[in-house]
Amino acid sequence: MRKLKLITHTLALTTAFVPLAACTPDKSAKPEGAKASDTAASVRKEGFPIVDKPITLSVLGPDVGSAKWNSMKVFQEMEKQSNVKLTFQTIPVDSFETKKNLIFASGTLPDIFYAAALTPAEQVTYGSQGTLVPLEKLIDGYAPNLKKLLDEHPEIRQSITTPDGHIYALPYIDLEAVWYKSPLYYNGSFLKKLGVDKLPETPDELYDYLKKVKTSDPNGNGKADEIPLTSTKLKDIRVQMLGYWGIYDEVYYADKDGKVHYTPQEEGYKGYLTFLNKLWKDDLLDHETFSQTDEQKKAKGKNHQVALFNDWLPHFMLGGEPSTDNPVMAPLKTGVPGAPVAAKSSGISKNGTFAISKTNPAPEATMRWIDYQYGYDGAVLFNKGPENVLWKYTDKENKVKEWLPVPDGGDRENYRGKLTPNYGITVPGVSLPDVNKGLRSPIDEWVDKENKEKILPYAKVPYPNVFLTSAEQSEVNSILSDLNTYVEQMEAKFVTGQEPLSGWDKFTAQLKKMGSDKIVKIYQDAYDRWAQSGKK
Amino acid sequence: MAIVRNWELYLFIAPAFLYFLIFCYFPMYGIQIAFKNFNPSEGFAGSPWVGFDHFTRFFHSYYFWDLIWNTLSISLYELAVGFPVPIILALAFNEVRTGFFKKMVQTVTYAPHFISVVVMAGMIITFLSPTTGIITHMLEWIGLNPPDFLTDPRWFKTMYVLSGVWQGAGWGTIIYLAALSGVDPGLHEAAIIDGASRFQRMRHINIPAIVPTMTILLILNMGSLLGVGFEKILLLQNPLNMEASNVISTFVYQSGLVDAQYSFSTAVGLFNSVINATLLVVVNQIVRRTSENSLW
Repeated sequence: MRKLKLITHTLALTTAFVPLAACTPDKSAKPEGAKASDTAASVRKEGFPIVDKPITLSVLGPDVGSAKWNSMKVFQEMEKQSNVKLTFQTIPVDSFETKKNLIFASGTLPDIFYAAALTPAEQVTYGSQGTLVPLEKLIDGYAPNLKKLLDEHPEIRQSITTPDGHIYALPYIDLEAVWYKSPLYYNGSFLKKLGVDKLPETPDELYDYLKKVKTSDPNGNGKADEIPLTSTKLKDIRVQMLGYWGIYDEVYYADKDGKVHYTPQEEGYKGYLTFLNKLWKDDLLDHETFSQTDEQKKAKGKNHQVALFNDWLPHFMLGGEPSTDNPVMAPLKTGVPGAPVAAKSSGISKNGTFAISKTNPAPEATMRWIDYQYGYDGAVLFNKGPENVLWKYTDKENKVKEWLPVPDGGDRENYRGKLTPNYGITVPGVSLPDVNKGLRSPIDEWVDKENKEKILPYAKVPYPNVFLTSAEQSEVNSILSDLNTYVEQMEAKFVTGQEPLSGWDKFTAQLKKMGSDKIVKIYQDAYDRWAQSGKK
Repeated sequence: MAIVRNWELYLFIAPAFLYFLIFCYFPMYGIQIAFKNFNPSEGFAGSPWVGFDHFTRFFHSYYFWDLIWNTLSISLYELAVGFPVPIILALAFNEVRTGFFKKMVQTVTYAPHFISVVVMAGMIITFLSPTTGIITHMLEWIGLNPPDFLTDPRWFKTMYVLSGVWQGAGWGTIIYLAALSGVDPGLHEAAIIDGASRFQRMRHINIPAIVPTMTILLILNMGSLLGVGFEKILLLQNPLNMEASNVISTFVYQSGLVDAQYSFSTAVGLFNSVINATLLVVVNQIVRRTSENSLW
């Protein structure tokens, strides 16, 4: 017995993927556009209910743990109005990615993927295999809100259409979106204490400021415990800083002329490394950067130690009440031609948030159901919860609202998380300015102003939402899996000085050897295809 | 008919037999995807064969030799340090006579075994933090200049192995203590009458008594030489210590579950398992030739 156990034990790694074995998914024909389902005739083209006789559909989605989906008021409201009853299977968001792969492989599919973050690769693979239903005809027939959005913004349609001409998943659309990743903020109390009236504009000025932070005890506790700049594994400051040397994204991007670059072999990347290395050497960049967790980083912020940091809003890092005293860091001028630049959100989520599987008995009704969330009423419902729970209309005509006291007296955001799945994950739908009318806080206005002054003048979408063919995708996967590890490792060594910057040429030569030029070529081809499809 | 006559015994073994059949042997047919381009919708049987492509890719991978070296060296290091410690501890416990003290020390040493790996890694990171870590501070107090344990690749293996000893040594003593309790007290009594000291009794009675247990455990450990557990490494890994911490199992996890390259990572895992199985057989052979103890 022991022997038996032993051998099997040693094979445990290989058998980790065993659950896949149990299933033999049927090979269905490739989709030739959706055929009308049996229930199509009974689906109303407009208004509620969607179907006269109730139907039941199963939904798969990620669970953030604030409430069970079937107890959420917005889904109950939808069910009442639409006669579409949903049964939910949710998976904790942390393990959703891996479990999702297994569900696709298992053959027992849900009818609906909701907020399921289907990557472009998954859309191409499972779409072309017939697991996901093509949506474009359904959109034309049963989704007036979404159709209107796509007609007004053809670039969105262009970006969600896969190379075979079908749309397999729907995005979250946020036309106002600015941030690609969260910005950097200065600690306002440090600025005040040090009497800084003009924020740094060049790397040298930033260096001087950080040096001053280090030496003049701006938090006033008599100890030199200030951390001028902190980060976890550089991932939270990398994109912003690269922009000062003209780079939009950390892996690959298309510049203003549509030429694709692989970031780590660009001259600008060296500029970024050189600057960070200088900060590291003088202890201006937190020396725990590569080993600390996000919680440890946040603790330093709350402890009044950090001068420059990244977060979505400053008080997430510094604690206390929301405040407009901590200015957004404007891109620095390095003298590099065309720089600085800033990465801008494409306004649509990269990952497909909604898809219909081939087992769904009523795709038409499903499309009508989801379309509601792409209109004003549905967007309000799914974003803010039902009327008269957290908010009410003060002027219904002009869509002006006001907040109501939180029913249990707690935090409004927490309560919202119990009403709607639209909390901590990207759900399908649209963000319209009218949704927030009357509900905006001074912070929201301030952020808009800061973005307009500091980010937008330099901002461009780094790389459009573009699909690779499955052959391209698998080549990219196989090249990047080694390349990403290598770059991450070398970046850390360059910054900390374990590898001198004189090793740059050797580094770029190694990147080429590992296939970086192929990455450029594949993404250039994909970009050109995308640009071409826009001209049609 | 033996089966009919001994049906009770077969009934006893049936659950275990079925367990291994269903969960360990039947799934092994999935290994075939190491030689295929696995595509979920086509299933195991339908995916196209590609021969040894995935293995070739792994052998030519930039990290191949790093992975082999790290996996091997961590395992050997762990074996060299982790294997003797429980033996020494068990011999020492066996000599302690006062019941309360013995029980207390034993409890303290094997309590860490029950801490989950995630918590363990969190504790290691907290204790070794260069600014707030308790171990760092203690080293500073006694006048040492502590290195950056977490980010210096030279320290990764030591950190990994020593924390493993801390967590596992107390638990590992149990099997040896069991073997020691089986020693015939008559042997000790006779030795005492002959005037043997404690140390001499340990050397000539206790150690020979646990040698068979040691050999079997050593063979078992050899069988998993390339099977370094991945959770703790993954949790302690960062870009700066990567050159010492990148091992086959984390690589399989990364490429298989995170990047969804099922076929490739199955190939890597299979390669790993084949080496482990081979090592097991070889070591078992050597031990069988040189002593009477062996697995089979």
